[in-house]
Amino acid sequence: MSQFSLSVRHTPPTQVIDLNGFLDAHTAPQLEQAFQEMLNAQHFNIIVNFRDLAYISSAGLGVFMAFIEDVRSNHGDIKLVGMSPKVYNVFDLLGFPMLYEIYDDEHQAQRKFIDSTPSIG
Amino acid sequence: MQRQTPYTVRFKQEFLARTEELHSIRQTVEGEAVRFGFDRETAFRLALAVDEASTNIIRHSYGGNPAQHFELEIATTGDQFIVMLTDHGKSFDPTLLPRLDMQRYFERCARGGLGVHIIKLVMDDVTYAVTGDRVNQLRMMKHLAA
Repeated sequence: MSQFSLSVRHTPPTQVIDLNGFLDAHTAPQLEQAFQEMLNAQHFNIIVNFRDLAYISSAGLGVFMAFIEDVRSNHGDIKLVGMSPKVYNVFDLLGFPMLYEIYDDEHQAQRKFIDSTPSIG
Repeated sequence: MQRQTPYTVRFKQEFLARTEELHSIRQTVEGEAVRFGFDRETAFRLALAVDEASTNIIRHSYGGNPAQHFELEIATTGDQFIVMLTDHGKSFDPTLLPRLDMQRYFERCARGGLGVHIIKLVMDDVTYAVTGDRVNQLRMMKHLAA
């Protein structure tokens, strides 16, 4: 049984991680690896799309805590989008909206990244 | 004389101490909680709290040894929904952990400790007992009535 999957899309200037299924202590290492690969490739503008995520436990939340400092110290951010009310409630229960920007849809998060990207020239 | 409220065991099963079991543990808890009368949102939170407690047993009591096992019991008495987790690993009393200050937690970008915090936020009462020959028992209770 596949409980969790993720895929990565490049939508300049961001990388988008799409989550699907159940994110718990069993599946969180997959997300951890995806973040690690992104940081290794010097991608720091990251959007995580929760639209197809049914569940998250503290093991999943811990992955976001593990990378946020590194990402922000490289002038990037991890923005979270498309959470169902159930998943949002877990973030809210612990006060995570204090630390992370959470948007209803991906375009809003994209716009924030574009607006905060310094223009070259 | 007060009449004793019957104590009904609704579910009792051993699980291997491996994270693959978490999915079915959550389904069991959520299903029993809904059958007892909790709304979907509370049932979801109860399943989350039991996931966190089970994860701590798997990771910390047994240090990730998947050959070990622990027992999940769900019982009800009166308006109380009681979940008991019993293991024979390293004892760890989560009730002794101080309450997390999330503002400070975020400032320090800390990790760990969130599971116990969730259990305390979701449940109305949490007790931990170590008896006899390394039998660790975590009892978590939630009232049906708010």
